[in-house]
Amino acid sequence: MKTKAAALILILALAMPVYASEGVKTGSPAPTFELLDENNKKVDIGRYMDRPTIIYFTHNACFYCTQIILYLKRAQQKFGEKNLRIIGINVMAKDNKLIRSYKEELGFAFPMFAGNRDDVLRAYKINYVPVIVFVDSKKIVRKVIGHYIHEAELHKHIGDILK
Amino acid sequence: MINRREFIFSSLMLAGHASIGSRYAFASPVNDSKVKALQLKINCVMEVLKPPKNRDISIWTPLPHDDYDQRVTGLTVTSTFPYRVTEEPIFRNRMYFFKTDRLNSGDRIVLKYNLYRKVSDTVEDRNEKPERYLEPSEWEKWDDNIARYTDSLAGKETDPVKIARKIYDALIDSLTYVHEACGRGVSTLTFEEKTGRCDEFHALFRSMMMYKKIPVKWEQGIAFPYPSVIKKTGEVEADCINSQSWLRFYIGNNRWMPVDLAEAKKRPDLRDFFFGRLVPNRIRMSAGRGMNLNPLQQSPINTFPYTYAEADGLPLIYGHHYKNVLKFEVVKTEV
Repeated sequence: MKTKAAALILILALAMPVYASEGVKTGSPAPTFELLDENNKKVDIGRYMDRPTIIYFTHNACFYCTQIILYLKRAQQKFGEKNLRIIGINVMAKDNKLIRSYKEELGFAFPMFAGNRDDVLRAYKINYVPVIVFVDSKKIVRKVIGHYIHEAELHKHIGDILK
Repeated sequence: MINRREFIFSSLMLAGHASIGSRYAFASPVNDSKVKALQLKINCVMEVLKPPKNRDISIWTPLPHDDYDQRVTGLTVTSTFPYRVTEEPIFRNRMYFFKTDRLNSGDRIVLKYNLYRKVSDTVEDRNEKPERYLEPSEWEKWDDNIARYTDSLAGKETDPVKIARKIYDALIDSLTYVHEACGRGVSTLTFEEKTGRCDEFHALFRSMMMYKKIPVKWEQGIAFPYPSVIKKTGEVEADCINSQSWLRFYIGNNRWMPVDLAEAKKRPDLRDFFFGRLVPNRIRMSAGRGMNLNPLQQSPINTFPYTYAEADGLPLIYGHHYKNVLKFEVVKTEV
């Protein structure tokens, strides 16, 4: 019994910190980078964060991610481009070809960038997709969702950054 | 004979089942840890939903084959496109390669076969060279934090099974399982964020074991429902959500022990079981990570458990251009 108790204490002592994070920390400034757009032009994505912004991390092999693209298209229509900015980052893409093809195939207008870069993936701690980062008008991360999301929940979080 | 952990979990789940229902159907007479083998008829369909605008289409479909735990028989392929069987040289994964300059909506590639899958256990393999499984993929490189943490867990222990169990328990206790996401399986991010799916759990376990010079193999496939809840017929989408990875680590004398940390996390009642055994509700499609397909694909591949396709060298969009469905019929459950 004593051995078991000692083992339990040892396990607890060695355990990794118990918090579970969902990527870049809420309350901190959204990391910005110069990324390649669909025309292979380097663009500072920070320039786009001049209003409440969604940064959406996705890739081609994820069906849930493709469904969220549809929700984002509808959100852009509902909330208006003047009020809400949407930035897509494809974590498979190293250059413009994949971005251009992805945008054409899924038919959306918001900008998308090539995000297959270690510094970007590390800064936003992207270990899986979809990841949706909600950024307020002061470029502060307000919410990070690291899984599939229903449209109503998406709208709720958009409402929060529009306040 | 069930152990104390299984008894407590079963009691709690039975109570929950009575009031709100349960995914794990304890009303079922089948105990997942007692199932010796599953026999399934498989109908694996890749269907074109919306043909891509590009014309030079390449499709690679993993060819499931026999291994320690599974037998694949009666395999037939039906396709409107020409194909050939190829093999990549590193992990010896075999695949069907299809090439076409025209896809139409509704085009299909259909693989039919019989699968016999038995419970996985420690196996002996005299043909393997363990040292080749000490090489991390680009996603499994460890840093000083992982190394320090591994040392703190392992202490002076040298027995690979005991080291593995310490790491197994620590990760299951520390990591949070994420549903409805497609993992990249990066060890350092998993260590920092402490969240993930099977690929994240297993990437970190593999990194920590390799740091301790214990070889670990990566196996990849698709998961079926557990025997306790599986229906006579059904289907699963063969995509990143239903993709399943597991590992085998080297314990010496040509022997390899299987583990599945993610399933142990999801099924606490089977935590001891998944250290050394695997429930047979799965099919292995490939081995290894970061492989080059044959012929070589244009974009990097993390794992290869289901059909991968490119148009003019760009990966097709899953769920938009095509989908993969694995239909099954349970022929026999051996208990």
